[in-house]
Amino acid sequence: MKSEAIFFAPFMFSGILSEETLQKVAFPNNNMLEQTLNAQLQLDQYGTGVHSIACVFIALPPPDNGIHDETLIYRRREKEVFAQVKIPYDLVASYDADQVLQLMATTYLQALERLDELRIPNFDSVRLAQDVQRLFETQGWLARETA
Amino acid sequence: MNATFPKPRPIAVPMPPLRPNNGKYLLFCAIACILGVVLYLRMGADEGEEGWRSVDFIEADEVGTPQLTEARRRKLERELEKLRNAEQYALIAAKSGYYPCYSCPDTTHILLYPGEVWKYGVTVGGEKRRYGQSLTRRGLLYLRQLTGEVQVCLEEEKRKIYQYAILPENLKRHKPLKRPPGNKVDR
Repeated sequence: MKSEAIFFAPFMFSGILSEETLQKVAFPNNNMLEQTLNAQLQLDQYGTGVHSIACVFIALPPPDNGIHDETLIYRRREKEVFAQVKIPYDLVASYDADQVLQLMATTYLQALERLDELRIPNFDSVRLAQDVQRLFETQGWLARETA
Repeated sequence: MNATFPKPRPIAVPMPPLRPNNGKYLLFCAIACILGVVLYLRMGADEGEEGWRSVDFIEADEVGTPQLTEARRRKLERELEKLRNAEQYALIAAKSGYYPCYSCPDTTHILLYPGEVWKYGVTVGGEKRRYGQSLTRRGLLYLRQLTGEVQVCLEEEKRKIYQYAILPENLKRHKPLKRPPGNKVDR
């Protein structure tokens, strides 16, 4: 099916979810991540190599049937980074919405920190990850590790 | 004066023999036919043996009987396993907005609110990431609703496509749809 970019934005989020995880991941957390990043950061400040970063969170109960896998790719023609990342279902089930948001933010940041492996030309992924981390910390979305 | 001309005598045309003396000819034909059949069968057999022995997906077992190769049998089993692990899903709106409508009689787009169904579908393992890369651009979420044998999932998908007509989110519309906006047919 030809993709129609109806809701295109530099930072985009979606989910592969179940009934149990839908409310905690999608509403309102996905939208909150998307709106905050698009409002606070300009992707073109990091180079011309990436026009958009799309992230899909996978939160499905076991067993894993192998249909939805994690991935991190760079689509050169569209200049789009696509990440599909899993968040542990048992944590999503036991956390409240705010904690799930922290889990999503941490997972997303980890994916950004791996962008360096893709060697995307004309794009400073390291600086982007650092700025996103600062933003998430400001928002209180990164869980602080206790000693 | 009356001249008379003798009637010409009919020329005796030798008649061809009614039954040719072809005993040897018949014998020759019979032998040729038998030889022809034998040669045809042998040729067919030879071609058959060469045929399946020359491909890489058939091998001989201990007694020479053709069977699928190990790699081919494994591939079959993997694909059967995928059919046993199918998913029936719904693509739902992640945000308010206008989404393409293939089942709208007189418009190309329809307003959907978060959580409303855009399409029902079925996927099996191994399909090249059907929606992952386009979910974000299309403002959709993938909601897994059922897992199991592909036949069970297909039946559930069909049930849901038909039942969509009487979902509250559809009944509230001025012109309810027959099926979800993203489903072009009844599957």
